[in-house]
Amino acid sequence: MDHQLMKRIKAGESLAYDTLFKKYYAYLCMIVYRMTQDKNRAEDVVQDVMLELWRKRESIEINNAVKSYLHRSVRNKTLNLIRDDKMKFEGDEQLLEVASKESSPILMMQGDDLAETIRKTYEKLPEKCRIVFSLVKYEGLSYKETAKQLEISVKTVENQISKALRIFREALKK
Amino acid sequence: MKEASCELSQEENAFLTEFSSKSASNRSFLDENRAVLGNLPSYDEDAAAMFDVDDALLKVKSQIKEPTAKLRTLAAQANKISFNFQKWAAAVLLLVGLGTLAYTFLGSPSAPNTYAAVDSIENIKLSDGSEVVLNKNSTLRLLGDYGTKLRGMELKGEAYFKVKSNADQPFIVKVGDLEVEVLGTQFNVDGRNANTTVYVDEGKVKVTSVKSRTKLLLTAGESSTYDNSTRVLLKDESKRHNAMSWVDDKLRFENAPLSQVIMEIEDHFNINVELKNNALSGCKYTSIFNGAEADEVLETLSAVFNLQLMKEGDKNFELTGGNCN
Repeated sequence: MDHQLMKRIKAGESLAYDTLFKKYYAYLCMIVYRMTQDKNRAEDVVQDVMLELWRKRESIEINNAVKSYLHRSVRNKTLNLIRDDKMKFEGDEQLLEVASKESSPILMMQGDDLAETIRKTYEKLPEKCRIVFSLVKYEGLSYKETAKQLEISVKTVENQISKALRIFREALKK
Repeated sequence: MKEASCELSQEENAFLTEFSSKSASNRSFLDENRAVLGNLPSYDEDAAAMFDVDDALLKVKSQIKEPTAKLRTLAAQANKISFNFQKWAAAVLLLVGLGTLAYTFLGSPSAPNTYAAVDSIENIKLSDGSEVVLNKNSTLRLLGDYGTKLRGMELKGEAYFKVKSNADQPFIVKVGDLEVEVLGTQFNVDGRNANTTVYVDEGKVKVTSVKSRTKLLLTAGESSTYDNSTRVLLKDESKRHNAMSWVDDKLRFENAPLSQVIMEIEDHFNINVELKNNALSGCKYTSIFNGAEADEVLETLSAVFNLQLMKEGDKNFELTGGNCN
């Protein structure tokens, strides 16, 4: 059905465009929000991508699923913004190396409390840490791919992941 | 936990495998962190509540500039011509003549006045910016003076109209005996069968039967049926949720009797579905299908009512057994 919609959009039919927009808007916003925890940024990114889709409709060729195409467009646009913000990922490595020597206690929490605490902790992760973690965990990128997208080293990616998990453990100890 | 029930997604598996393959210390680190990885917030349910799609769509549409730039340039040229003529002749007649000329320029010089859709749905953009989606096997013929005092056309078949608001130029669709008059609104006209149906999506529409001199005013969500032989024009009290399903690919059922549900599914997908057990025709059903295929819709229906679904070829389905719940 999506391919039919795209055909009609390419022909200039605004109703087909409206339908596609409404179908995927919330889903696409969620992708950006998971990475940035910024509602406004999420909406801006998705609206820009959808606007571009309309403007370039005649020349766009989508060979696989429309949903995947939109997912990738939104993710890439978010990554561009993150790179433009010139986030400094390097420099945290020393600290992390030392800290990883501790041994870890067994987690005692169960069920809803656990999920709620983890959710809150995720949302409060330091920004760079969360971005790396979300690319690996939510977007399913490999360490190598994540490193490439963010223009950092694989080691830094590993460190950020370890850091995130450590923060979670700390939160769950309480 | 997710992992315990073998529900990890491919991504989660890849992450865990890669992470644990790095070293033994990683593996034990992982053991301790399974709870975390299995409980990360999934934003799916919240997403719709957090982001207002209707607002966003309006915002984006307002940034899409209509391709009227072409029209504006042509209008400017037309004005220049009339100005020159004004220098040489002050007759009102000439100006009126030029008025027509200007309007002719405003449409593209070779704009067709009949549109036909045969095997596929056609999208039509009219010179005033109104849009028409013409269903298969339908034709639309613009009346000669479209875009002057009147925006008139004749429809055979079915079309969905999105009309640009213009109080000075009534938009009128003739279909058989009926004339459907509009002011900036969105509506569907189905003239394919013995009954002509008009369904209003947004705005207001006046439906008149020229032959029997009866009129109706319809607002958003309402529809009318007109029997072409008895010439009776009536407002349709039953909710026609699916009059537009061919345009936006959405099937909506709200407490609809199963017999009606099946009829609308047949119509939408152009298939034959036979409900063997007649006792079930009154079972009520509520659901929305967004862009789903026929098989999926029928499977869902079968699951709800305990039916056996059988398929013969591409277009014929049979539903046996079952019970209302």
